[in-house]
Amino acid sequence: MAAPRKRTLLKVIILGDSGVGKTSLMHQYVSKKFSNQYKATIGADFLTKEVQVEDRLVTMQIWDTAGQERFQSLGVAFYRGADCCVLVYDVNTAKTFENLDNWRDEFLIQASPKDPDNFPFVVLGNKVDVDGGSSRVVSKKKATTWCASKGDVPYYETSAKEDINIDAAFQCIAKNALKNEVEEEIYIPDTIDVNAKANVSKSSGCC
Amino acid sequence: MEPSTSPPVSTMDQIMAAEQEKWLADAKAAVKQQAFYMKRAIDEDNLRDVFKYSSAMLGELRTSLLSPQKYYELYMRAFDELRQLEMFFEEQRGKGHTASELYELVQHAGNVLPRLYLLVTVGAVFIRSHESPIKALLKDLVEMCGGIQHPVRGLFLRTYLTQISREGLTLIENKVDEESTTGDAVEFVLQNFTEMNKLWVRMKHQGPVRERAKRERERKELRDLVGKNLVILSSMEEVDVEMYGEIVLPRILEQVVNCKDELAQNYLMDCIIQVFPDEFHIKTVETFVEGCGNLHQDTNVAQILCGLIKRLGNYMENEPEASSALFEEHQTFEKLLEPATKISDKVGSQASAMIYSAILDFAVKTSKGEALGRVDQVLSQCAGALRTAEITSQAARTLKSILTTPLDSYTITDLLELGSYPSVMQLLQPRMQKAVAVDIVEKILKKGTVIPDAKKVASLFDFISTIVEDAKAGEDDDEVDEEEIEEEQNLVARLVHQMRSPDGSVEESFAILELAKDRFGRGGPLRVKHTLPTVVFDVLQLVKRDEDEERCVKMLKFLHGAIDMIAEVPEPEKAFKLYLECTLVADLKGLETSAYDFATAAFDIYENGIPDQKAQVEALKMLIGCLASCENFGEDNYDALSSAATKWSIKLLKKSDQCISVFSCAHLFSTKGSSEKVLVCLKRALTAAKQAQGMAKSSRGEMGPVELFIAILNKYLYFFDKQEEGEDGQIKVEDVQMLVDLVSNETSSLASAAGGEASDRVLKFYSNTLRHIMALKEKKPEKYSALSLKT
Repeated sequence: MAAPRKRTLLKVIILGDSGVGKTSLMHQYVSKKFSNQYKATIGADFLTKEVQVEDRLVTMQIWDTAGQERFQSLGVAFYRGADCCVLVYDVNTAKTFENLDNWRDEFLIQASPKDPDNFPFVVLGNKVDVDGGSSRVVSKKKATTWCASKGDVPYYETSAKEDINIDAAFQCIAKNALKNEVEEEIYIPDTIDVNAKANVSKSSGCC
Repeated sequence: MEPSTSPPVSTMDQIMAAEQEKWLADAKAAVKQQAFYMKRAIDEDNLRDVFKYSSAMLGELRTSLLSPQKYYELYMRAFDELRQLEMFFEEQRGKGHTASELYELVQHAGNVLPRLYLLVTVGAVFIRSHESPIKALLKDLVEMCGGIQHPVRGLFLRTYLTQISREGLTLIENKVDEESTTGDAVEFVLQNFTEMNKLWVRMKHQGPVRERAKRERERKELRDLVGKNLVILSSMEEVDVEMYGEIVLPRILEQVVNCKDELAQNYLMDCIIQVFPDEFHIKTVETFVEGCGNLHQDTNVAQILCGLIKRLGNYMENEPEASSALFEEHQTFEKLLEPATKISDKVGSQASAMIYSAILDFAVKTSKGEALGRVDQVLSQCAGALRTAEITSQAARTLKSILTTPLDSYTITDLLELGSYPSVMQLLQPRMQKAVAVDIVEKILKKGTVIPDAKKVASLFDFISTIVEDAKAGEDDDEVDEEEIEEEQNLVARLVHQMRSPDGSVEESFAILELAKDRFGRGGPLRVKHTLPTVVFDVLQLVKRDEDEERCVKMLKFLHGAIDMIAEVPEPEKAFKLYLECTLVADLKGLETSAYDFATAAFDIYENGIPDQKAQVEALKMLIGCLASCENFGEDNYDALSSAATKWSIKLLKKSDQCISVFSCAHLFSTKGSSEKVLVCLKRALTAAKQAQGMAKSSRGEMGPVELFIAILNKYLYFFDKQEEGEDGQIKVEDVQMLVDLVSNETSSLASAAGGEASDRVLKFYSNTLRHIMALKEKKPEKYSALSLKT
């Protein structure tokens, strides 16, 4: 019934521990800007960016989230409807890598995508620039092994500071998000009487 | 929701949760249905129906039934659908409608909440259109939102405005709109923030009192909506530290202070700390701390300040160079410390202690050259601020950590520079003070730190005075636990060995030990008996290696005084032994007067202070042994001492003891060649042995009379063998013969009596003695020819 929308909106959620550089990655990608100073994020907020994927122009709605639990007081209702989830860790801090499992599980539980096994994730190992790589503690091999075990999740090593691999990573994110764009289940209300809200069916199975 | 604040799940809660789920499901279904019609109208390009159905959809957000988290879920559904609507409006603008027309049109929607959501959505398109100055649009939108005064609905509507206006703010920052400035953008966010905070705080007072806890819970869920405005401000690049310090921070603080709500204040102050960068904080510390001073009395100011200090400390760890330059340039330490007193007056001892503890950590972490001075400043101010406060047990624990932090970060010698350390300690209960003092002592012992001069030693004593000195009257109501004191004093005593001049200077080491004696002297008898002997031993070591006679005399005099104190405890036996030690050392040094004084002091104690006969026997034995080892006494002094020893030997209670002691004294006289007195002693010993024989049988293990006779015979033989012809008062061979005969008689009667262990031993002793006599006869036949053995 509904004709396809003329512009495609892709929803991308960035998750990861506090301080891994989620906000910086988004800013570097959207505005080509970077600040070295740590600023906490509260709740969730998005920026949008138009992006060309193959022959299509799509709008990416990139949700940056609070890594600190105490700044997530309203819960994670914004996960719903995501087309791709970006998991970020800091290659210089082992704990942030170890927590990827938690972030992934949390996302799958809360967002409950239709096909969790094939839901597109992309993993970013950020801050590869720090100390010229000498303070790195999570090896590329370790990260790719983890990604492979989760169903060949694409992996990028990035630096929001030096703008390394950012475009490539987000191009991949957009491409995977677009692939996820399944035909939305067609919704037909039982009644077209808009004034009789009480009659809205609960059996349509869509809510 | 924070788990810690969640009430236990009750049946009532479960029912309410189920109801919430149902209401949410209903509302979501309605949103979906209306969105369906809205999108169909969009496809049909039917502007009127688009308004109609989108209004109906947004009408679902008018619910008052949902908790904030559930409301957020519903809001997100509507939010996603509104993106379709925004794109539609964008397209409409391409189709001949101006943004301002659309802006007018949506205002016809019937209900205020849907109308405002639509207005904000069109607003996004309007902003992009450059048809009007962005600042005017933003101002209009933020004022229109004032139409919703219901807290939850108002907060979410304004959150929508925050989100949608971000693009406009970026456009202003990028100077796309000539008429709007960053100042306008900031003003817009601040205004929205202020309104949101008011809604959020007002919520506290709305509704029945019995639902207060529930409302507070809900307010906690809503807090991030308010805090998010601060993230927007911090993300604006044009907001530099000047603008932050002059406009942004003062305005935020004004609202935070004025709202007088502790939940809002605790949260928003934390947000400020977390959301804005380190550099901003460093440059505006004064403003922030001053703001803290004006917060509500129930607000946890300590936690807020500690949060700030912790953040600055982390910055130091991550960027040591950049940060320390900034800290020094902006005098961060001083600016944190200075107002702390003012705040601590208001907040109680625990909060104050926490603040000082955080500042102390900061000083330790961030100050390079001046760290010690700063640590001392913190301690001094802390002690001053809490002097009259009532110290809770929690505060006491924090204070204790204040005292142990520098212990871990600095060497003991540095620590002793902290003049205010003891005054912080005095804030604690004696028991806790002792624990800290013990920590300090244990650390010194573990590290083997040498306390190198009298000044440092004096301050160490100030630090640990609780375990060294007696409690002042009324301070310590605890009963004296002698075992505990003993344990502590043993530690303290070990400490004495660490107090010495590192280059071995006797002068300096002695000065240190003099001071130690002085301080230990304040400890009362229970402590002195454990601590002073160590001082005595250490000074004795100094005397032994000192070449300077005058100083040795001075030190020995000092020792005399120290031992007198031990004697007065009273610990006579300990003092007695120490006097003897000193006698030996003084004699070794050839300082006869001193040696004589010590020996007479020992006699005094023996005479007056050792009542137990068994102890007397032992003491006399030691005394005689000591005199026997002395080599440098003049004849008169030595004779006087030996005679005294003999006099006391004769006075011993048991005849057997008398006998042994007296014949030991014989040796004393023999060294000075007084053979007459040797013989007197031997004869006196024999008399005692005979008296012993006349009395009851000796007890097990002691020498029986026969054994005593044999022992005396051996002495006779010894001195007889040594003596040369022609001396006065010599032992005659007849004397020896008399004893040989006596012993021979006694042993034969013993041998005929029943055997037993004791008699076996005696007979063995006897046969050895006989063998010895035969050997002597063989060696010196002329001297021993007159001596006959009846075998």
